[in-house]
Amino acid sequence: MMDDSVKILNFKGAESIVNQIKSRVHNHGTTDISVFSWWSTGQRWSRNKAMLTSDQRDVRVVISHEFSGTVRATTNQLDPDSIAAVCKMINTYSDMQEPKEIFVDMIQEPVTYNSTGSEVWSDSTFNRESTDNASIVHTVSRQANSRGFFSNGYVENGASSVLKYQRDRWGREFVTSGQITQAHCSMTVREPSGNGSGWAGGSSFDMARLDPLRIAETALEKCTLSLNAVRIEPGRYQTILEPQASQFFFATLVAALDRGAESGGRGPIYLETDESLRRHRTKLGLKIVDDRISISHDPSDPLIGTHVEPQVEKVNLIENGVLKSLFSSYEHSLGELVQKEVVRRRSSFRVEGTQTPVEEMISTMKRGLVVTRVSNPIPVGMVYTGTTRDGLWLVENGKITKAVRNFRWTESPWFILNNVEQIGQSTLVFTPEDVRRSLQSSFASSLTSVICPWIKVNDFSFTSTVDAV
Amino acid sequence: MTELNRRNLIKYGSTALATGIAYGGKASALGIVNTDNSGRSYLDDDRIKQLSSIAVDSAIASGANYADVRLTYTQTMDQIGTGSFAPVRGEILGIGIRALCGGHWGFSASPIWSEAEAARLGKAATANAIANESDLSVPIELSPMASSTGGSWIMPVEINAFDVPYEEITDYIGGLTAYISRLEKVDPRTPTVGANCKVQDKYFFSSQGQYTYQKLYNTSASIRFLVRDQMGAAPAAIDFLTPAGVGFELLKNRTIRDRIYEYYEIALEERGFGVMPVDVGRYPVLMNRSIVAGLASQSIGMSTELDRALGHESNAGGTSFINSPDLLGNLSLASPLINMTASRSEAGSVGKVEWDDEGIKPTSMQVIKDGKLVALQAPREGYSWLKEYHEKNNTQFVANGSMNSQSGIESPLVFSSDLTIDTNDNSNKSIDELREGIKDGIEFKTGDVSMDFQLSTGLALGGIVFKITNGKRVARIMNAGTLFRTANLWKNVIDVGRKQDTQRFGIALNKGEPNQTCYHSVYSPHMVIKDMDVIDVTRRA
Repeated sequence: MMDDSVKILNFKGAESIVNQIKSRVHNHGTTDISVFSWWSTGQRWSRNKAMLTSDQRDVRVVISHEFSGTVRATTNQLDPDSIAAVCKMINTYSDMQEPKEIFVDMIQEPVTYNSTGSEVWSDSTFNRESTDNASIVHTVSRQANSRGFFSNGYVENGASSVLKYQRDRWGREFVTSGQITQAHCSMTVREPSGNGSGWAGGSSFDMARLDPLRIAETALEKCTLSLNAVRIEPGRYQTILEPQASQFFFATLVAALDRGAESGGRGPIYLETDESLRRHRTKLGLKIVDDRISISHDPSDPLIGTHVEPQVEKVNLIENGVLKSLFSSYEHSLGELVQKEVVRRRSSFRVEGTQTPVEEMISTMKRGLVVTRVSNPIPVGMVYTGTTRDGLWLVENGKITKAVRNFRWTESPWFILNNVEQIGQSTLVFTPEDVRRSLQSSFASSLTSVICPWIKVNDFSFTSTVDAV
Repeated sequence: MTELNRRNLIKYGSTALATGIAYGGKASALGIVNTDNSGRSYLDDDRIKQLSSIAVDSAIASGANYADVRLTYTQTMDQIGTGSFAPVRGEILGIGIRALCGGHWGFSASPIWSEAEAARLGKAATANAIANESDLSVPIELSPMASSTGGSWIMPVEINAFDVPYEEITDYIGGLTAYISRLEKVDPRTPTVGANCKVQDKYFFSSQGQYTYQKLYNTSASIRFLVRDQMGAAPAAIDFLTPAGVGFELLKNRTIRDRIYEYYEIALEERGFGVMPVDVGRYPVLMNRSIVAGLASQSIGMSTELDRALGHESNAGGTSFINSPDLLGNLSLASPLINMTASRSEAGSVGKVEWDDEGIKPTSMQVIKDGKLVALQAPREGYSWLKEYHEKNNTQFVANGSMNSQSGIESPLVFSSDLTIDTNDNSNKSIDELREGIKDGIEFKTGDVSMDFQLSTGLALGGIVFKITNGKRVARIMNAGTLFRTANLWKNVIDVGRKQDTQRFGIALNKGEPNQTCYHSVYSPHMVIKDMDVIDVTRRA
């Protein structure tokens, strides 16, 4: 089923597991089965020296059976005996439950199922072995070493496949599946005494579209430019956020676009409560951010595509600043007895950029800051706080004049996305798992690809200096 | 010490699965049997030894100077919510081989336990290591092992949740919820009780002859409720159920209801406080032990991990303000009142092991002594990293047993051992006595810690925060936080609570690329810290 020749399970392999399970698990209630398989190889280096080359693969079979309560089990063992034993456990616990009265049979799931996501796949990335990345590490390490800096970084390529099966309580079966390849590369170049640090990185489904040498050159240049940073006063500054920094604010915004606000009566897109109808209303159809901001997900977008999306048509989330769509779950639709158009969560999004080059954004800035990336953002009520990291510069009269010591910032995505001065070019940003996890939402942690632009915003709030370089 | 043999494995639950006898209504197993073609399970001590040996031999035969293998069998059980019958179970196998060739490590891991896969992984790990050789390579020397170690160890627990029928767990949690719901003034919509139980069989085998087996437990729970009436509302800040190296007795014990009642009474008292905004300024702050634990975990625990100190984490979680071994013995990091010890030997600690992920028997090591930094937490490879320093200073390198990983699929990294904060202050003060010493100050009862990527400056975000006037709490403060520099924070400690109020807190640690999570415990007392900058955390510049 899964041996040394198999990096990830293909559709047939996953389907065979699903078939074993669905023939064994009781057919009353709802059964969800997902078979997720992944492989990745990574090269980690530090201080111009390769530290570890790894090659990992794993699989997760998650079975969830809902009758009155939900029984869920996870395993990574695919032999028939193990699968049979897990199914037996699910059935045993399921038998202990009392049936729940369900009266909602009038809602037809409007989603087109039995679909395969448009695959974002690169054979060369899939066939690339752990040892193939070694030359990248050698080259960038020599580059940094020759300039007297330390290069530290990580390059990874991998692939994953998923097959999701659902059988509802009326016996209808829905299947989705898909597979993707992914490549990530990032590096931090540091001055040996800790007096400067520069970061650059990128992600793509195709290793050939990443240019590690260009990434290395950018990180080196940033490190050089960040030397001898000076302290300036905290305060509100006009600020240019690189796409890596702006993605945090866009992803936080997109994570909030959930129809749950309608029933919950809270959150940033909750508008008001209609007392006569006893219904909460959202800001759907209203302008919620700057009118130059448009955010969408299009499975046919060659740069982001889709992993396993239950819907394959394009969805506009925000168009010219106006909230156009909210994500909604099937369960929520049932609960609300709505049969209107339902948009499922997507695993990637694109924020439209412009042709404005960053040079122009800098040249039109009187006094402000340029931020490479943000670190450790955490929510504090409706705002977030974190620090800048690996490259922060002061712009005066249209020119970068000096490197600046890092700041702690405290800011609201809603505030800054309503205070946009300029939008620049969009690019795929670096989104490995830990970066996605730091975005602080389960939605963000499932993101596969994000395309964000440079943005120049007014009055970005830097609240204190930090010592870290 | 328990001998590793089939009888003991069966006794303690691991190979009970191998027999194919499933749970029969018990929560003891999902039913992984992991059989080969002959129907024989790999969850058997002889087979595991065989797999380990094949993996390591394969790595060495392919050219590695050293290799080790970890096999893990992890069972998880979560009961989230209250009164509902919603078991969430998981059983995961992993095997990961690490090979050292000259100056580089290679690692290869998968979920498949078979002879063929073990051989493939060993070979692949070596190939991965060899690929990195270049003119910049520097050979790695591992610290010598004191002696060839081996054996087995089972973390002692009173109740193995996986031996308890699941209905019993559900009933017990339902009973606790009902108990809380019946307490006067408890908002009936709020009580929730949940538990997360994990048990892991971990095997380690190395080319230097160590073969160890450990059964490790990690249990955590949560109890939440709110008391509310016309006087106000306050949450019960139950903080003694964080991850620990214990069994289900964390939640099921004779004193649990009494302890819940204590927190209930405190919440009743605290609901009556009025609320005031933050008066920004510099104050003495009474940090309750849960926040002290968070502060120590990040600012001392993480910052003394040798790989961070040497910059190896600079592209990932971040580095450390302790950026040179030359700071050992010279950096005054805390008040002379403060000592901190890193150890993995305390019973009940979530980091407790008999051997770390390199087969080292952990040693108890002071990292802060009388306020000075005296040690860093190091893996065996640290011997190479610090060779020059130790030769220059005529000191001895110690690998303290801090290598850790959550499963065989992950490559081990240095994660801070459990930390114990100790004091030279013998004043033996209770929290009330600590408070009485504050004329105009702030008390942080709960909260979170957010630090920069070198752990040098941070922000403690208050959860439940009080204004203290003349030794008494007079009001709750909303949105309070305090900014600090690590060095000043610990140097400004002026009062430490008595030892008997020290409590254990299990805390998650993250690092690495790809990101990995491990847990450690911090034993912390209450503390008073002077001159803390208290701010409104929601206020923008």
